Amino acid sequence: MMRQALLLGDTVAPYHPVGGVMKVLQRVYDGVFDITLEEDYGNLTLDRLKSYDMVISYIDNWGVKGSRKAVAALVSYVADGGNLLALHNGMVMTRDCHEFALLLGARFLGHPSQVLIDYSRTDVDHPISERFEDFKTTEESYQFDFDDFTEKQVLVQSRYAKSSVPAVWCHRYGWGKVVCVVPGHQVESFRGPVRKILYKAGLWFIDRI
Amino acid sequence: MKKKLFLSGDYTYPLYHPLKNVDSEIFAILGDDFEFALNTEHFESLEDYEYARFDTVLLYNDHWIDKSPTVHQQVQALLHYVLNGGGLLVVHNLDPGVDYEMAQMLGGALKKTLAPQNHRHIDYFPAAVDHPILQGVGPFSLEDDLFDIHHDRLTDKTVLLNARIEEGIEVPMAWAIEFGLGRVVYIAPGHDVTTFRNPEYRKLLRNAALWTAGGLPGPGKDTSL
Repeated sequence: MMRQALLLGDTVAPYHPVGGVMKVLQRVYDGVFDITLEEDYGNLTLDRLKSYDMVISYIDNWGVKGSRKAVAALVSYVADGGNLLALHNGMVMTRDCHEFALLLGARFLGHPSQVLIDYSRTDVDHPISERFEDFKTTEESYQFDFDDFTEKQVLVQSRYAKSSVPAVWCHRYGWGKVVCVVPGHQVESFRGPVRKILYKAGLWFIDRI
Repeated sequence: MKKKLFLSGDYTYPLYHPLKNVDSEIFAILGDDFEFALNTEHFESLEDYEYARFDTVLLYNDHWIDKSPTVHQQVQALLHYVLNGGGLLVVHNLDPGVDYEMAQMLGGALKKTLAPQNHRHIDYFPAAVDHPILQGVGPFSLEDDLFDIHHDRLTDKTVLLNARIEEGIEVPMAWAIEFGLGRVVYIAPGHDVTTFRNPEYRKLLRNAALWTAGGLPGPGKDTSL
């Protein structure tokens, strides 16, 4: 039985249009999840979200379309047992909404220009990062203010210059699960090791690994 | 019409803070505005839809850790309730903060009670903010506990009350949070029944209960950003 995923994003976006990423995600989750795109994410309701096994945030225009009702629905969806995959810019709405920052365990602060970043697996033993191969790529290095209380497991760490920042982490929230994947500025970001992380995150959500 | 309140605290096995005797003061402070729709110390199995009938929930529990390992149900139910428009007022006992999601929603967790415990003289001052909870509330002094609180830096809170612990040093002792579509208030003083008899404290508690129940105007009504 195919599971259902709702992708939140913007076809016409200030920085990160969702079109190419949607095609990549359809290939990643082929045979596991059907993906529906939702661009009117400011009008999300808990009732609507409840019918999905996974919500993927690639939101890029929260400042214009976002609403407190939608944040309440998203956080409640996860607390009630839903699964949230937050990708790159899909974590940025944390600047406006502390509830969403608390859900992710991080508040986005900003990022310098793209740099060459080393991504490496941490010592945490988790099915999502099992057999992850360390790699380097040019990416935006997102800066976060991390929450002290979130019981997160950091699975992949990013390093450049003297900076070392979590790049992939996961945790449970209420009855639900959250996976945050920081790299994802362009379609090319979702190749190789990151693609495997996304696939396994989907399986972890539905208890297949 | 009176609003509906769910009151919980520990009658049978309180660690330090029995609800007995405190409850009668709470009834007197809130009785004109609230109907006490439920008063139980056992709410670990209460489901989210059962909270929907309350306008606010007042927790005075210091036995939280014993209830927590059930199935995480009380955490899910309270998160769901507040996110979808419910009110939560936690008085004194920050014990719900042992669950991290609750610590985030409450704005922090207890690190420790500072010595001397139980009956330390504390001067409280309303913060210089325009908030409906502070209407008519003046400075006051109590013999109470002083908590060392680990504040959550990501929780957007409006500090309502500060304690002056030394000349020039004030620490937050009550705050208000808009969380999802709901409202949360934490009030640190409340160690025993004498605190609940202080006239300024009574005003603060009544206003806080009314605000969390949506009965006072102010921040929290706007659903746009």
